[in-house]
Amino acid sequence: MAQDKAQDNRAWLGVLPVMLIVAFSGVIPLMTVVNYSVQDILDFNTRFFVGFEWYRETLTDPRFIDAFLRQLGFSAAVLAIEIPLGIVIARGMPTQGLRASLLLVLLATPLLIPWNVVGTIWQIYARSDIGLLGVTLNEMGFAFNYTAEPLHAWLTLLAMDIWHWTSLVALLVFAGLTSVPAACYQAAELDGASKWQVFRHVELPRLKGVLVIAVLLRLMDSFMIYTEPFVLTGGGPGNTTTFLSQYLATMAVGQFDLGPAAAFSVIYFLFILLFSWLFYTSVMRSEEDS
Amino acid sequence: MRGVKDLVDHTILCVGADQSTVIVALKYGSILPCCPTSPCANHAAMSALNVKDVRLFQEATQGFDHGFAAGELTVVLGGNQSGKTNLCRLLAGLPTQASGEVWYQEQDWTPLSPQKRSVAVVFQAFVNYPNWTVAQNIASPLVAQQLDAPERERIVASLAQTLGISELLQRLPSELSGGQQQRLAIARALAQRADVLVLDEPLVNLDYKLREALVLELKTLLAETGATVIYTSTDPRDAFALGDQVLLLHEQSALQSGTPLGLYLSPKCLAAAHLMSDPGVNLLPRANFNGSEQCSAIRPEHVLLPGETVQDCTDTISFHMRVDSVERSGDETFVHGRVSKDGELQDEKHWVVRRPGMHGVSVGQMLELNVRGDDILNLALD
Amino acid sequence: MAGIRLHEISFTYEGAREPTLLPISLDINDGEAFSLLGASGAGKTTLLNLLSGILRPTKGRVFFDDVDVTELPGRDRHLAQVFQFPVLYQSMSVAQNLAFPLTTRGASLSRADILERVSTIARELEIESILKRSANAISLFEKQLVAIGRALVRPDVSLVLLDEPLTAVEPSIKWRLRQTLKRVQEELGVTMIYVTHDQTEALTFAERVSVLADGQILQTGTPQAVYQNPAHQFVGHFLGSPGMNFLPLDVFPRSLQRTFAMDGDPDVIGFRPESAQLTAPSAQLLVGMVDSQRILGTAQGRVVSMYGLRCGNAQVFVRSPASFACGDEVGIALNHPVGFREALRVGGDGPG
Repeated sequence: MAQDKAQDNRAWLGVLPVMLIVAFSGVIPLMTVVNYSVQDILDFNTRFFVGFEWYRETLTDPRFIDAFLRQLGFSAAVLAIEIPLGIVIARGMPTQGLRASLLLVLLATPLLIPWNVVGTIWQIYARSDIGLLGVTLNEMGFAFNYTAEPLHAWLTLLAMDIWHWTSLVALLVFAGLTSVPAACYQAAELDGASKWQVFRHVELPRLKGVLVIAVLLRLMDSFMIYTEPFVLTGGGPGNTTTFLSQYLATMAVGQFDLGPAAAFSVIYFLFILLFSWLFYTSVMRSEEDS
Repeated sequence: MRGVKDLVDHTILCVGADQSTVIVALKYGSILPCCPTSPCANHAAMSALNVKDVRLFQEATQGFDHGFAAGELTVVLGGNQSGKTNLCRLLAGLPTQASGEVWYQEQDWTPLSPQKRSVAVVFQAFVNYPNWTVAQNIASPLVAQQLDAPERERIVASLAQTLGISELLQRLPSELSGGQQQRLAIARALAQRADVLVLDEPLVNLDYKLREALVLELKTLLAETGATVIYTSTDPRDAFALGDQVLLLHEQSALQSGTPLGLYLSPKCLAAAHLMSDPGVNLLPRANFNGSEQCSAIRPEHVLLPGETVQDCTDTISFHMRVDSVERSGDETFVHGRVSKDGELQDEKHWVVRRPGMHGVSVGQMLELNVRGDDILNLALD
Repeated sequence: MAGIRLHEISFTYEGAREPTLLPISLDINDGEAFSLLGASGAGKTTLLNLLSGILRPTKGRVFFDDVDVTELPGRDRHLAQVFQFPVLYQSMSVAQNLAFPLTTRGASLSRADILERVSTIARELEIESILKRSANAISLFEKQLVAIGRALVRPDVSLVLLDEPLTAVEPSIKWRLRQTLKRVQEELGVTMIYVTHDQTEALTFAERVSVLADGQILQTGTPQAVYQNPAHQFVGHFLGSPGMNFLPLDVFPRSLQRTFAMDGDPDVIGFRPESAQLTAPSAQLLVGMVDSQRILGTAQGRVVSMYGLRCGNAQVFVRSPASFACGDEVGIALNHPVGFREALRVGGDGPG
């Protein structure tokens, strides 16, 4: 028994570096933020404990609420478009041969481009004076100007996000589809199932796992979107594309309101945690029920 | 040496019941002079590999001890989840739920890592280095032994020859069939020239025709290595085909050990009888029980169909069976059905009758079966 | 239900040099239980895919009840298939799984008819108690029963293909599923083709068996016929464990050689391990030397062994209750010798 104990302790030693890294990169900064969020900091030596004052202030701040609702709308739109589109693309892809490899490379390309570059690409691409997209649309008679029209700004942002991230969903679903045994398709074919029935009853149940991952990834990412709108629209026109992260950055870096910004961060963090948890448990529960 | 073993087996038959002492005596008496060349002969009945206080699963309450005879092949027979693989991993020093001491001769292996034990393992799955050729795979343990190149080549060539994969030396494992891959894994294990060779259901993933051929080859091959071999299986036929000794595992513990025929003739209890029978033994209807601690059973191959006469036995018992199913493998017929004694329906038992040849039995038919009194096993209930 | 006729069908995979199937002709009767038996690589799966419409034959025609279905896709052939591993719609209940083939392609059945049909099949397979359960929540054995049920549920099913359906089932309960399959086949009278590499499954299930090797059918016949009178040496070798023994004619004593030569002039004589007796050697008998012994068990109180014997350069196996030691010279009396010339069966059908 004594020997078993010794071996167990060795295992702990192995985990220790990871725990240290996680502590320094995650837990300690998070705790610092929590610490800031309950204090009013004037300078390094002058600070007061203010309790939940910053939280109350943040949650009742109309600009915060607006940004939050905007954020929800954006994430919902992103999920509603990218997930089905990704599935459609994945199902349409050839599974073997040169064409399949080429398509995979093509699909993966947008994922490899840095986020600020993506913003820059679309900023130029959609410009109504020199951008290919902007000029074309204007030539066709649409008075397209994303720097002045909130709707145009939104559509451009959505188009950019879809262009950037649908590939991820498609690749995940594609990987999921390759694990469906050929016999399942064959059985459905002999049963006389329609294309929709094959998708609904053969593929979808087996895609559940990857779809959960895809939705979680896209939800969290789109909820935290910062760089692209920062580069593309700078939050405008007006505040119409100012999302949570941008507002937060303005507060923390621009105005140096550390206390409120910290409270904001904690609330932000908890929201993402809550959404992911709600989604995950509801999916898992439905799994158990069936 | 085989002749001597036959003599041993036949002598037990004559002696009958308590055979374990007889076997040992005969082994000392007759095997020694027969094989003076074998280095292990002097320890023939001494166990080289000993395990002490083995618990195959974490939740096991009681440990068991066992000695594996030196230079002999022990077939470890047990059902699924009986802990066969755990035992193998324990012997090899691989991480496992099982705990206990492992001693090889005078050496305590318990604290040693797998690399420091003289043990080679063949797993159920075909485990080879996928990006090395067959030759490189076989040579891999020889490189570790720091042999020079010509010596390595010589050993690789001879092992490949023995296992019939000489033609395939330059291929990659992925280009081999299942049978060839497992031959390669066995060759690699033999190349380690370890004192202990552990084979964990090595043939279970192969076609039966291939299995049949490989079992016969393995018997001679493994005997030639002089190693102490542990071979796990679920099939009692493997015990007869390969085993010098058999160890039965049941409910996570050792149940009984002895020669294959010894265990076949005198199983200690119902579970032991089931393990050494394929399909399992048939329980006699309760009317034939002798008391409550005991039960009586008959092996499927000892039940005679109508038209077969009982020989060399005066005591014959008849049963009636309603046939549920008839299966034919060509060389054998298996008749499944429900049996009662004198038509008493409340105590029906499911039986299987296993007879050589093809028999014209049909489903739903009533059969009168005969059983020799001598063949009935009186067994302790578990 | 339908009789199946394969007319000279052959198949070569695209880009392959060698054909996978050589021209095969085969008639399977309406309502027959038929088996295709062969080792992996014999062409069983290709033949199965030709029947189910996944592949089109390179040459030849496929007929279902005299209707040429060669060009028809699988879904229009009214056939069903049971696969090696249970294929179910995992998000549905057992009952929904069974009903599914009846609800597709605008089937004309009413709701009541569907329920009726599902309960008939469930009763037949004795799975009524699990109808309400999710297809994910039942044992592997039950899953395969449900898969079989789904194959049988369409009243117009012409043919059921079974592709090694017992692979995933635990060995000790395989016989129950085999028995259920056989019973259902007899009661519903559906034509079934059972593809397997396992001789017990083929010989137990089928009224007739075809043995395949290297893309050819070597023999088609009743289980007894293929086992006792193999038309080709491979059939004799493949069936039985161990398979048939083969000895060149010159190993036998002159008197026996003359007897064998009168019946079709064979060059090889085959016999089963169980259809020979070991006795004292004599000039009239085939003689061999015992070189291995494997105990099988006991019969009538005597130890039965599988003896390996060396006859000339060849090894044979004989199952015998006699006791011999390695090195003994023994006589081998054959009960049912079978003659072959160039691997093909020659001479009369022998006794039985």
